[in-house]
Amino acid sequence: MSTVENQVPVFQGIPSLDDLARIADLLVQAGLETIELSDGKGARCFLRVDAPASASHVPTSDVSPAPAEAMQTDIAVKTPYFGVLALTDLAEIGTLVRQGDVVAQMRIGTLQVPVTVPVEGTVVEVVGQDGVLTGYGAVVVRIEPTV
Amino acid sequence: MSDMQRFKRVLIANRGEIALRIQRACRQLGLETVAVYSEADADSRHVHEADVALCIGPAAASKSYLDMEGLLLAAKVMEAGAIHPGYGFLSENADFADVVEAAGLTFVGPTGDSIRMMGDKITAKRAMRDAGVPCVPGSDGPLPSSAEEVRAIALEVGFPVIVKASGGGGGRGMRVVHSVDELDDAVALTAKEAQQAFGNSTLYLEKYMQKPRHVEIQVLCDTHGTALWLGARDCSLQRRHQKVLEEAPAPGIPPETIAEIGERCVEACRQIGYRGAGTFEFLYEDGIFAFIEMNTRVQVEHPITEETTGIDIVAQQLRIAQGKTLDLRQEDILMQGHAIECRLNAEDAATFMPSPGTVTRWDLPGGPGIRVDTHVVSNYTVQPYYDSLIGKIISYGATREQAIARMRVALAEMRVEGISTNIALHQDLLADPQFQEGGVDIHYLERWLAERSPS
Repeated sequence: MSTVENQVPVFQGIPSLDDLARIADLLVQAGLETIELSDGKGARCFLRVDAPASASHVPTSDVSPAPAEAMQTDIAVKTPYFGVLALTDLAEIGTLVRQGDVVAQMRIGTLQVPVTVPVEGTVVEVVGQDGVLTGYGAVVVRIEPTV
Repeated sequence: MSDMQRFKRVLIANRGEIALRIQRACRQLGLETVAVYSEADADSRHVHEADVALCIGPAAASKSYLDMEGLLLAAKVMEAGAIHPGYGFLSENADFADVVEAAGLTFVGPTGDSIRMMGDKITAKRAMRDAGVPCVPGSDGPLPSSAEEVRAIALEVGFPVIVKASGGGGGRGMRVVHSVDELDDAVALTAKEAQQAFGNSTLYLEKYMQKPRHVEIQVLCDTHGTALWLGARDCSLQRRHQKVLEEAPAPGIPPETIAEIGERCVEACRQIGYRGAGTFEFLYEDGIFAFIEMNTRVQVEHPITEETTGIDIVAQQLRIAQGKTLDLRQEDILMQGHAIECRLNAEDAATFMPSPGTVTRWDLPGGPGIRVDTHVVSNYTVQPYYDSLIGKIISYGATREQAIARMRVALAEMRVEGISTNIALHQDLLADPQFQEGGVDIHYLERWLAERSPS
């Protein structure tokens, strides 16, 4: 049986980076921005994630970045809203993209919402389809972060 | 009947069992459906089965099922002509009803003005009193600021009284006062809490009924002046103001009495120009009905009325929204037999804490007179983000005894693994002699739970 309680790691000392990433994911899912943990012995950990509308798949936090090895995996750049996907020129395999670059626009009528890249890297796969109505949280491109 | 349709495609702005229920009604009427869902609900039955589906946001309801702007944009991009709000979420949000209609879409429900009128308890009660619906004796409006005048009102009504926040609801913002010397403090404290909780310190006061039952009347109104009542439901079995088990009709109340109240309710509907499905909720004690509030939407427990009347309430909501006539007269509505609904919740049997998780086994009951409304299928994951309702078992019998017997067999057949449920609680309740006798009050379940708890 899986409950919210047992998805949250028990906090005894500083959580591992994996645990922090899981906590950050849960925060994003719950629409929360910050959490503060303490173990009663003076150790405190404060986490803040980007606003839930962020395109970032991996939530940023105040903790030091994960080891380079863990960063080697692809990062999925997801849609922050729904709409008709309009890929930009940057959404092409092999393109070097920087943090904040726009790989697509989500269009609904006159509304345009950009899909932005969370970290610098190289586009390794284009998943989103141009001109197709796409829901929230769909993968647009995958990028391999620059080490 | 005219084949002209105001809309051909309905966006269902909800999730869970009611989304599936609305989808079924749309299908039967030949309407297409749009499922909009949060990321957490991507793997739900109504999403898979919808004509078209769109993920509109993350799990947090504020960014999906409660996001008015997002829902309107989704309706536009998915070319829906109507929005059915279900229950909960935006179903009783007057502003939402207004923006939907302002966008040229049909809101499957009453007008924003009707919702607004019923959302404020003081205006709702005044409108009901004016229309001849019986109300509990009370202040008939906001409490005056003078403590002396408040005392005079309370003494005239008679203690005990209950002081309530005009903007409150769901059991919050109210206080029972047993004697005149407690009154001043209670009013001051409730006003302060009401200001903090609802941003509105307006209070009213009513006679406190000590052992009432919760009895409600279902109505259906079209836009051509026809307003019908579909009998009563008894929803007295509640825990923390949440209904647990409901039945129709209300045991022991003569049909003539219900008919008289029903007529007053539909007269009130005609006077305020109400449209769609609605429910008048009453407290009932010693033969006296006292209006509490009107729910301007379809209710969780609507199936028991469907069973006793044979009327598909959700399909009627959609037909009314199309501008069609009800094609029914009051004398055509037969209220026959007895129906019971057990709400199945994913919750711990002892603590009532939600029990989300993956359902590894889901065997449903069957047989004559058994209906199950649920969105759950085997391997479905109950999400922690929303309410814990996972389905409803509805039993129907020619008599109350038969409905109880069928429900007990159904509950014994039901097999759920992977999550905890309240099935055992329902089994114990149905075996309880007081329940079997019928007519328990709204505090009965909590007393019963307290008495059997090991502490």
